[in-house]
Amino acid sequence: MNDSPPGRDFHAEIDDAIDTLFAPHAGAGPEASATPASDKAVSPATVAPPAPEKVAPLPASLLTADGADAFSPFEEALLSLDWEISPDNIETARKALKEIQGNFEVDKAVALTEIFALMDRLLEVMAIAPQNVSTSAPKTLQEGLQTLRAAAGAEDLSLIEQTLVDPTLSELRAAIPNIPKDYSKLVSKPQGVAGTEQKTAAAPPAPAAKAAPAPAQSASMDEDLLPELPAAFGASGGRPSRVLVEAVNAHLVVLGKCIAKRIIPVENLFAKTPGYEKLHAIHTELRERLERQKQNLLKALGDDYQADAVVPAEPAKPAVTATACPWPTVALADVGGRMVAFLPEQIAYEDKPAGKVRKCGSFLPIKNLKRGFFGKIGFVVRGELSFLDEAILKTLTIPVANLSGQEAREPKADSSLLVVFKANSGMAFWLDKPTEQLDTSNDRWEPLTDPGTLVAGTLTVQGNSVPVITMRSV
Amino acid sequence: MALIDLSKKEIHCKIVYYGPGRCGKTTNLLTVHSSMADNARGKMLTIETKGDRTLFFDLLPLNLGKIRGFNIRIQLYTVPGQVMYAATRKLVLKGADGLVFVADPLQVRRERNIESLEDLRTNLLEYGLKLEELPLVIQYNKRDLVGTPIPTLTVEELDADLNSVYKAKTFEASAVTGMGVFETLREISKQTVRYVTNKHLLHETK
Ligand SMILES: Nc1nc2c(ncn2[C@@H]2O[C@H](COP(=O)(O)OP(=O)(O)OP(=O)(O)O)[C@@H](O)[C@H]2O)c(=O)[nH]1
Ligand SMILES: [Mg+2]
Repeated sequence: MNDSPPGRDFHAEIDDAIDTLFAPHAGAGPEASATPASDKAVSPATVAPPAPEKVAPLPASLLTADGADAFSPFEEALLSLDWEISPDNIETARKALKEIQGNFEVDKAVALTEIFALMDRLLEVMAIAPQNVSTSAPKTLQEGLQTLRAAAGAEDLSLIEQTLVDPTLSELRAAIPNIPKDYSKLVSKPQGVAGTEQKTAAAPPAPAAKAAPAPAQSASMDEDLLPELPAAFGASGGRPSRVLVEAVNAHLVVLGKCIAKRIIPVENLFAKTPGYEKLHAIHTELRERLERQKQNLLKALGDDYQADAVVPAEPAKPAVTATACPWPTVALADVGGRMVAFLPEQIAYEDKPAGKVRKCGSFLPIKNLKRGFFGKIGFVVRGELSFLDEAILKTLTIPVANLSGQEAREPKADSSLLVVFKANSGMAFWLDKPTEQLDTSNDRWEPLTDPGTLVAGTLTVQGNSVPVITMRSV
Repeated sequence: MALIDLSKKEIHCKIVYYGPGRCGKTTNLLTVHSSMADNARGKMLTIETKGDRTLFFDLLPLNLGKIRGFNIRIQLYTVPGQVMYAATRKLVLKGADGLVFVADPLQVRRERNIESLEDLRTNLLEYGLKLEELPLVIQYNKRDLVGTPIPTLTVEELDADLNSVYKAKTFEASAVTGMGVFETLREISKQTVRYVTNKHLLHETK
C-alpha cells in the first residue's frame, strides 16, 4: 500500500476526516487512550474474578483418587461449549456426563435419570441442529450440573426435589427443541468444516421407503441408562419372577434376530454404498447400542439365561379392517410412473422450478428454489418450512426421492417438483404431473405401522394400491 | 468490493472483522454503533443472530462525509466465528477491502486464533487475494481480563502467534469497555480508504 504522491493531499484529507469522525470516541472506555499494543503494557483488570462456587461436600464415589471431583471434566467441557458448539466439544461433554452418571450412587442415579437423559438429549440436539437450540443451552446445562452436584452432596434427594430438581427438569425440557432423535451420528464424524455447516443444518432423512432412519427411534436415549438398573432388577433381594425371566429371555431371542437379520444386513449394505455414510453410522450406532443392551440383559439374567427361549407367538395380524384413512384428503401424484399420495399439510413446495434445480441430482439445496436474485426462499415455500428463518432455509439440503432405485436421472423438462417437510425432515419428489386432491372417505385404508418406512399406509384408489407418504415426526 | 461510482462520486469500502468464535467481533461493532452519532452511522444490521452468536453477519455502515466531492462510506462487517459456519464466513469475506483480525487472548483459545487467521488467509487466496497485500489490523481484544484469574496470553505471545509474518499494526482493546475499539477502527479505515482510492481513483483526483 504505497502512498503515491498524486494522492497525498487527498489522503491527508481522508485521514483528517477519519480522525474527526473517530477520534472523539477513541479512549471512550475507562482505560483512556488505547495505544498500539506493541508499546503498551497490559491494561488494568476491570472484570472481577468469578466468585468461588459454594458446593456441598461430595461423596467419595464422585471424588477421584487425587481428590479432584468427577464433575470437573464436564464443567470444563461446558466451558468449551460455551465458546464453541462443535461436534468435538459436544462429544467430550457427553462422555463426561456419562462418567458422572456412572459414579453416582445407584439409587440417586436412578432418581436423577431424567435429568441425565435430558442433559444428554440437549447435548445431542446441539450436535444435530445447533440452529434450533438457544444459545443459552450451555447455561442450562450448567444449571443441570449444579443440580447434580447438589444432589450428589445431598443426604436426601427429596430435600432438593422442589427447589432444584423440578425447576432444572422444566428448564431442560424447555431448552430442548423438537428434533428427531435419530440423526445423532450425522455430526459425530465431522468431515471438514464446510460439510458440518450443511450437515448440522439439515438432517436429511433417508431416501423414501428404502430405509428411513426411523429404526434408530427404538434406540431411545434412555437405553444407555439401563446399566444402572440391573441392580434394581432383583432389588428386593428376592429372585425375579419366572414370568419376567421368560419375557426377558424371549426378548433376547427377538433382539438377537433383529440385530442379525435386520440391522446387520442393512448396515453392511450402507457400508458398501457411497453416499450412505451417515445412514451407515446411524445403523452402526444402533447395532452397538442394541448389543450393549443384550449384554446388560444377559448379565442381569445370569443363570436364568436360556439360549433357546420360546418366543410367544405374536398375535395374528388383525385381518385388515377397512378403517377410515386418518386424513380426509390427500394429494395424489405420479412419481416415476407410480401413483402415490402425500399429506397436503406437509407439502412445502409444488411448482415447476427453474432449470438449474433439475440438475440437483440426489440432494436439493432448498435455497435453489428461490426466484430472482432478490427473491427470498421464504416466499416460495409454505407450511412448516415457511416458519424457518431465511438464514436456516439457506443452509437446508434435502434428499431427492428415488423411488425406482435406479441411478438418479435428470427429471423430465415439464415435471414439477414437490417438497414435503415436517419436523426438520424433508424430501423432494419429481412429479410426472401436478398433484390432485383426493377425498379419501370412500377409499379403503390399510395402515402400515412399520416405522422403517415413510409410508403411513396404503389407500386403494380405483383398484390401485396407493402408498401414502408422510414425513413422520419421530 | 469497493464500489466507486464516479458519476455519483461515491466510494464504498468494505471492512471485515474476522476472528474465532466469541472473540468479540460483534461487540466491537456494537460499541462503535452505540458511540457514534446517528448522522455518521447507519442502522446496525444484525442478520440472523441467535442469542449473541452471529449466524450470518453483522453490518454497520458508516459515513465519512464528503471529501473533494466524494462521499465516502465504510461498511463494517463481522463474520460468524464458529467453525461450522465456514461457508457463510467465506461469503461475507468476499470483496473485503480491509480486515480487522480480532484475537481472543484466552489461553484456551490460542489454537483457535491461529486456525482462524489461517482460515482467513486461505479464504482470501480462494478469492485470489493475498492477506499480506490487503490492509490488515490485528486487535488483541479482552485485555480487561488480563490480571484476572482467567489465564490470558501476553501481547508477546499473541504477536508471536499471529503477527510474526504479517507485521500488521496491533491494538490492545476491550470491546466491552470500548478501549481500543476506535483506535482499531481509525487505523483500518485509513489504510482501507487509502488502499481503495489508490487502487481505483488516483488519477481522478489529481
Ligand atoms: N471480558 C470481555 N469480554 C468480551 C470482550 N469482547 C467481547 N466479550 C464477550 O465475549 C462474548 C462474545 O462476544 P461477541 O462479540 O458476540 O463475539 P463474536 O466474535 O461476534 O462471536 P461469533 O459471533 O460467535 O463469531 C460476549 O459475551 C462478549 O460480551 C472484551 O473485550 N472483554
Ligand atoms: Mg458475532
